[in-house]
Amino acid sequence: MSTFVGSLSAQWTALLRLIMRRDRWVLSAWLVGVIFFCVFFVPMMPEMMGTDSETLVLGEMMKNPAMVAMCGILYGEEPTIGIIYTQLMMVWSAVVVAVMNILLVVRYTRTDEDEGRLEVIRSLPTGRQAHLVAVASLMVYINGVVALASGFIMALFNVESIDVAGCVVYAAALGACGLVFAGLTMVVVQLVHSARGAIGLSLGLLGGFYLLRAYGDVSSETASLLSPLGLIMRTYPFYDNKWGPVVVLVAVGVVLMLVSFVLGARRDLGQGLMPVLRRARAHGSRFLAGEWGLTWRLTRGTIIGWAITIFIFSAAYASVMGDMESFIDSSPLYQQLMGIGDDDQEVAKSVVVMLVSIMSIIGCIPVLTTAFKLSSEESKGRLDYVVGKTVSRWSLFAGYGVLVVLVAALMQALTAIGFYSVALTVMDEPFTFEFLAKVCLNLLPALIFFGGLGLMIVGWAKKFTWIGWAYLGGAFLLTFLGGMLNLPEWVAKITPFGLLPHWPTESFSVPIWLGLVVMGLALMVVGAVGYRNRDITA
Amino acid sequence: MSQTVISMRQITKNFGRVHALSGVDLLVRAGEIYGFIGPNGAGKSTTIRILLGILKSDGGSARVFGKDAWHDAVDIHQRVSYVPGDVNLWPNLTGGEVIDLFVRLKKSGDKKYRQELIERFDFDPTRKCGTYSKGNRQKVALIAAFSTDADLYILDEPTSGLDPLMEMVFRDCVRKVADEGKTVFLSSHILSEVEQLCTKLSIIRQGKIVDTGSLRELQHLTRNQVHVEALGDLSGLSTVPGVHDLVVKPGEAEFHLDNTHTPQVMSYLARQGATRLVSAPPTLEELFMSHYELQGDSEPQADGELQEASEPKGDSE
Repeated sequence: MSTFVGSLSAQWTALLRLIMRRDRWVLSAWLVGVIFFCVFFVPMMPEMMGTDSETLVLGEMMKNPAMVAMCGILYGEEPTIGIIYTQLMMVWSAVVVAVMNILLVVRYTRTDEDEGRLEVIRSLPTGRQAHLVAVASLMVYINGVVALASGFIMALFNVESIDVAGCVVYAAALGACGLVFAGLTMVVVQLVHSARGAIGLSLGLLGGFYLLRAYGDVSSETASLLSPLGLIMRTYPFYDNKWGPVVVLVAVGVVLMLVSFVLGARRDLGQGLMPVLRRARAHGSRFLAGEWGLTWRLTRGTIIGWAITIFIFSAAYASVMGDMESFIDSSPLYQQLMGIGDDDQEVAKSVVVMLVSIMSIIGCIPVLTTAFKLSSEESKGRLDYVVGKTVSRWSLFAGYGVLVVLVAALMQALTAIGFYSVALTVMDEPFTFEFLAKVCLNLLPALIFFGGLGLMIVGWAKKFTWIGWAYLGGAFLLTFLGGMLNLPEWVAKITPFGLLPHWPTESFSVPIWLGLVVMGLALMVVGAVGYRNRDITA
Repeated sequence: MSQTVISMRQITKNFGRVHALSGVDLLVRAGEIYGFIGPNGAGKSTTIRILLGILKSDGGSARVFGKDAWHDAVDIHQRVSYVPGDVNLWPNLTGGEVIDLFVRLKKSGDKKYRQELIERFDFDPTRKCGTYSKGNRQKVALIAAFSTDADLYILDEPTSGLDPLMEMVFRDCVRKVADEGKTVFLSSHILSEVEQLCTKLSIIRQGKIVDTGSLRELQHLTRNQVHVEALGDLSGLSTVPGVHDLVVKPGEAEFHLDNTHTPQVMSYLARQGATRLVSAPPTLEELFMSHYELQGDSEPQADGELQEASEPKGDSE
């Protein structure tokens, strides 16, 4: 029996080397990007904080429930640069680390399996679990590098109150959290039936843990302890530097990986442990007619999934608005800071604008995903069947154009509805739906612009889809952190979210609003021209 | 009697409620080139995956080289080379890199022969796998399989993407390893290939082996195609036992003849003054078809259309 167990992982080191060899650039890019995200804000902190009194003021602002729900708790007797940095960046850094873990684990397990590459590997004298062992050790290595490198670099910046001991526990918590999501994804891979399903369910769980932490940080400590994203902050870096949560997270990660080995042994190659829920259609429905129908059929699952996500997140953010009102009432300092004096509604409105901006940026993800579906279909060689029929490329492209605009509108509508439905119940003076609809509609051109950009990239050079994602990432950082930095004014305006005045705190601008819509649509037309003249290649 | 290489007894495999295999028996001896044919979804790839320990059977025993296919997979695979029907490779590795990887994982291989195969298959190993056509991806698997040292070659529709010239190279490779006393298990849709290469074959249908034997043995069990010219009247043939599908024209007739009734038919034809008699054994294709026309178990299939059993996704035949 012992030889049987040993043979299960036979030659796993060779498979690990294969992954390292074939994806050395992909892995390096992920590591550099993620480590950069984890540390880049550290050297900007002193500039942002300025004097000690400014630190206190910012600390007061960071205590507001919307901030706590979005980022995490503010702990300690009085805020220091290190503590504020942790609140601002730790959860989001952990999310980025988790996304990397999810995508990499699926890439090296289920994707290889779906594509039939694992079958060849299995027919060679390699162990049945060798690829899982290889992936598990790869993820231990990757998260180890993230933890070591980001801790080291953070300490190198030598910022006041961001000390070595704090950096080490902060970075170790991030790595440990990554390990948990690697293990979780390895388990999910055994349950579902495809790589897409594995990514969807794993990201869904990540979203769920984020919401659990948001709820917990505002109103229940236990809920936060149940979420890895909440647990990491209970290391209290730069304050208590507790190692307990790190130990727990590493243990959970390792246990999940072991569970995935056991589950993996219980299923057939290409199958999942969850029962298949499918309605087997013998015929295409009436909607599956023509290229537009096909486009909808291919994208609807993703769109519906994101629609639900956007609604839930908007509702979750809105749920803090009640706490927000009482917080404002109890904090004269905060009222003073916002410069509004006694009008509670004004303060609440400015918070809503910030939350809706974040939601609108998240809403750009399904917009870009939909636009890029056209190029991913092409890369998989499936578009050949479509353009090989009597389908004009113009019409195919136009279908995506229409869909992208509809997705943008849908996401903004759901943000408004999600906010309204919950704010209605938690606030003493709830917002009107008209107000929330206007806030969302005001930012709609930014989503349309991103849709146009995405389709233009597909139309001319589908290799460069990453530019769309990078630009969106930049827009997120500028919206999220830009306000706190003393950046030149033009920097904020390089993204549509910075360019659009944020009504109602700023005055609405018809030319900019219309200009962005027209620009988004123009980008689509430019993309269509390129698309009609370029090669369709795998 | 030579050594048993593959022995499967009463292997069953279910995917949920779908019975992919219901009691498969196979016996392959050393040195045989064993053909394995059947329609889409009959269970060919499932059988092969069980042989390779990639799938676990729900019942029965599967042994390769006398070892258990599931438990001793790693040991068995040291001596097995496998070529899948649908070869997918890592798009950003070159063909040469993948061949070397497969050979290294086997820990045995002949560098010189690898080079020779690359030349004979007219293959460019320096391109990225993402740019290869189906046929070229198949060449990667074939070159890797034949340049490693194995005692059993399991080939699952290995030529479905190859051009006729490359098919010839493939047949040479198969004959070469067979000459060296190696065993080949070949699943194929290309019946002429099986006819030319295989010394023995099994036909699988709806998860069961419906026929096994050498081609000649199988032919004996079925009907020959007969064309006869005679001086006398041939319309009386319709009353002779063993005559099927009779077409009578003045002075000649065509029919299928059950081999068991050859004596009766011959004596009738002699009485009618037969002048010319041409009898051809059924081709494998006719043999194959006859299994779907005659043995339509529970569901009769008058049109002879091949039954497409619903197998789960990802289990492409």
